[in-house]
Parts: sequence; C-alpha cells; structure tokens
Amino acid sequence: MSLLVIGLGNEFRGDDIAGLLVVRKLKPLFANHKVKFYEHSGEASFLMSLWSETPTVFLVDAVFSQDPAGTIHRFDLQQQTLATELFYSTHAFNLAEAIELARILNQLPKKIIFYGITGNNFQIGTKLSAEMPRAIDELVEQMFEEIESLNF
Amino acid sequence: MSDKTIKVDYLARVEGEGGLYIKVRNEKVEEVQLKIFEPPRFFEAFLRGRQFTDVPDITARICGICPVAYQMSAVHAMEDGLGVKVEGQLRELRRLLYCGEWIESHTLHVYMLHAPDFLGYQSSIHMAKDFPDIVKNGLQMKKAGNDIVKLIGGREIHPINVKVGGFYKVPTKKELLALGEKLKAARDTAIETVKWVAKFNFFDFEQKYNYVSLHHDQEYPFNEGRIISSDGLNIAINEYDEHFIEQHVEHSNALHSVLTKDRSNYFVGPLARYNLNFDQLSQATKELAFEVGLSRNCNNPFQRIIIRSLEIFYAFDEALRIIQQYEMPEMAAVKIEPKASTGYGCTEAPRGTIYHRYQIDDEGLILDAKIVPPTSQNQRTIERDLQEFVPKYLSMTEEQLTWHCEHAVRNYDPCISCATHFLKLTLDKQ
Repeated sequence: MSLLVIGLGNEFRGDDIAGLLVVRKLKPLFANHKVKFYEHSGEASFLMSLWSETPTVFLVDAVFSQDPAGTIHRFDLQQQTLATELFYSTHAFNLAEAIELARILNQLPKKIIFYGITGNNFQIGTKLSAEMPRAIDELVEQMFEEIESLNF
Repeated sequence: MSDKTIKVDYLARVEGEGGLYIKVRNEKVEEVQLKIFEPPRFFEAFLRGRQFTDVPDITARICGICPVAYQMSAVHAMEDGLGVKVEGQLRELRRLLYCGEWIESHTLHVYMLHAPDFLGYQSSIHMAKDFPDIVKNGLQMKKAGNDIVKLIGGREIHPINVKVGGFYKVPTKKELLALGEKLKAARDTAIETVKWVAKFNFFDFEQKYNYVSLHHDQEYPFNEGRIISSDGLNIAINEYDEHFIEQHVEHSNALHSVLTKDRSNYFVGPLARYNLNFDQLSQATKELAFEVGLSRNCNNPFQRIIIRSLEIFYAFDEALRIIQQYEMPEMAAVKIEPKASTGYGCTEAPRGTIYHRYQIDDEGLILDAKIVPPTSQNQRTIERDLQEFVPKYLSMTEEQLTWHCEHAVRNYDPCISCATHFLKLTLDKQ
C-alpha cells in the first residue's frame, strides 16, 4: 500500500462524521488508483499500526477551533504538531498524542498530512451543521487535487 | 496546610469527561465527589422498540474501548431469556474475542495511561522519550489484541460479527493458527510487562474491600458464572436486581450502584477478579504472580497495574489454548426464535462486572433494557479510597497531592463514557 487516506469520526455525533463523509466522497474518484481508504473511530494506537507500513498518509477529521464552522485546516505533520485541543474525543489517547508518540518512536510516515474541518456540534444523536456540507465538498476537491498531483 | 480544596477540572488519562472535588477541613476530609459530567446517552431508552437481534450492534456503540463487553453481556442476556445455550467452539470463540478486548484495553491503560503515574511523567509521550522500547512493547501487545478482535469480531473497534446465538461468520482453523503465531511473541512481552510494573514503587495503601465478580468453577471468568463477593454473596445472574441498586447523586450523571441491603459500596474489576478467582488462573499466570512477589490476595489498589498486567498475560495464555484446540464449527450461530421473555446477562469487562437485563415481546421487540457498567459500580469505592488516602498525605504540596489523587482514580481505569451515565479535580481546603 503506497497511499492511505484515513477518515476519522463518529457518525452518531453530529459534525464528527465529517471525516468519514470526505472519505466516502473521495473513494469513488480514485477507483483505478493505488489509493486505499479507511474509515476509523480514531483509537490512536490502532491508527499507529494502520499507518506503520505506509509512506504517504492523509488523515481527515472534524476538529474544534475558534474559527467558524466549516473552516478547513491543513497540517504537514512532518513539519507541524497538532494541538490536543483541536479534537473532540472521549478517548484518553487521541490522534494528536498518537502523532507525537509516533514522531518520538520514529514511526511517523514519510509524508503525513492532516486535514481538519472545524465543527460546531458534536453531541450524540445530532445532525450535521448547516455549514458542513459545502465545506466537505470543498475539502474533497482540495484533497483530490493534492492526491492527484502525487501521481499514485 | 490543614484545610484545602483539591480541584481537578478535567481528569487526564481517563476515558470520558469528569472531575474531582475534595474538601478538607481541620485535616479531615469532609467531602469527596467524583463528578461525572459527560452527558447521559440514553442507550437503554433507544433500545426499546428495536429488534432483539439489534442489541449487540447497538450496545457495542456505548464504548470504543470495551465494545465486546457490551456485546457479550447483551447476547448472553438475550439467550438467557430465550432459553438458548451457545456451547462448544462458539463458546470458545466468544472467550477468545474477550481475550482480545482485555489485551487491547488493559495494554492501553498499563502503558499509555497508568505507567506515567508511577514513573513521574505527564503522559506516555513524555515517557516514550526516555523509554521508547518499552512503549513499543506496549504497542506491540495492543496490536496483538487488535488482531484477535479484528479476526473474530470483524473489525478492531465496535465489532460487527457478534450476533445473538453466536457469530455471523467463524474463522477457519488456518486463520486462527496464523493468529496464534502473532500472539506467541506478544505473550513473551506480556511476561516482561508483569516483571516491569512489579518493580514500580507503590503507596502503602491496603484497604478492606467488598469485591464482587463473576465466578466459574472451571475457568477465570469472562462470560458465565455466578456473582460472588468477598462478603459471602453467591447468587445467580438473574438475582442481580435483588442485591444491587442504582442511586442518583447530584454531582454525577452516572448512577452510583450500591448493595441493596445496606447501601454500601463494593468493588469490581481486575483486583476483584484476582482475589475471588485466583484458583481459576492458568498455572503459568499463578507462577508469574508468585515470581513477582504477589500472593493469592492483593488489597492495594495501586498494585492493580500488576494485576492488570497479569490478566494481559492470562488472556494471551487463554487465547493460545483456545486456538490450539480449535476446530471450525459447522454452524456460525444457533438458530433463535423470539418469544416473550426476560433475560439476564453478566460478563467481565476489562474494568469489571457489567450487567444487562432485557425484556422482549413475542415478536422480539425490546420492551425494557437495563445496563449497569463497571465504572458506575466503582464510583462510590473510588470516593471512599480518596477519603482514606488524602488524610495520610496532607503534608504533600497541593500539586503533589492533586497528582496522586488523580493517580488513585486512574487505578480504576474509569470509563466515564460508559458510566454516563470523569476528571476535573477540586481540593477545597481552608
């Protein structure tokens, strides 16, 4: 596997589904490419094993931030760190911690990009916020172009 | 520093959202509140009206750390009501699935959440800078647990292959033998883990607890048995509601479970299982316990990290036993027809006993559901521990005391998401 796109989220917690929806929309666009897609709830140690043998990884998830709902963020994780506060997680070991742990253990993929969409509502049993569908479509387009440019 | 207030607004390295408030006056602890403010999720309510066959997939969503525990209690409760017994290799596969969850959950807690407390690190990330190989060991074992749950449960988190009556699909012998090869190396790492944590420094804090767990004469408990306690309780699972009652307390969104007879607290989880079921551990696990200096009883909650590590080793041992004797069954599940009934199920989640009760009608629709997770059963005992612990260490700085109070809570590996029905600490001392 040479390129892996991992959508993260919980489809029952409002805007937390955004990462999963991005992956579901991207997957058909790469039907004939060596690109693999994976949906995951975000348990961090599993993510570390998932990306351990893949040189290029894209992660996409809904995040908390002070920006308006629907704002798209991009982090090159070989160059930048993720703030723990960005994530809504009831899990004690979250994505930001997994990234930093992998960095210390030299287990970070050679290229690892994180895309986040600021969410507004993460309560269980709620629907996607009104700002999210357009942002999801914009991010699908942005990620499609970036992955395409890598020629997988 | 005779009066103080210990306040932790958000407890770190626990699953879910909660806080801690401790009020000290004249060197006496006047009040301890484990505050669980994660909102209730009403799973019991939205199970009503669903088909009985939906229950393993819905209840698995209660927790990302211990979904198998919810599935197992759920399917056993349904099968109890419907008079069905799942035996033979299907029963063994359920034990194997539970081994995977214990390994996943316990390893996450030992390495990522609890070991930093003993070694003086803020987190496993800080710990990994000094002990990279040890953290890699933890990740290796966690992955082995993931591999078990993925093969038997269909995926690592929120498994989808469990059904009332058995499974949707069972693995071939070849698939299990391949899994067994992965587990052998991780089993050796589990031995090293027990030896590593046994060398930690532990507070001298032995307590008298009323332990409660499942007990089965022939095996260390996962899915079946009677509910017993160190105070002499010995009841069938369907008698649970007569002996345990949930109470609402103002400071917690999780109900406190206590003994009905005197409203006293009790203790579930690895320490309870170990003390009540030592004889049922594998011979290799007993020998390892003795080798690291434990006896057949352990009453220091801070030493639970050793017990938890022993249970990881046991789970590898048990998984390999099951794999070795496995023959692929002809049917993946027992056929089940619904009928009006009430069923009771109780299994041993990594954090302790988990109870389910369901009432269904003739069409298989769920009329009523009750779920009691381990953390709600341990809340009162956690508060009692802190009432005993804090007065002994009031000479500490507030920062040190706060750290150790959080450590004392993490001994229980509380799963607040499950119980919400955890931590932010306030020490109020004047």
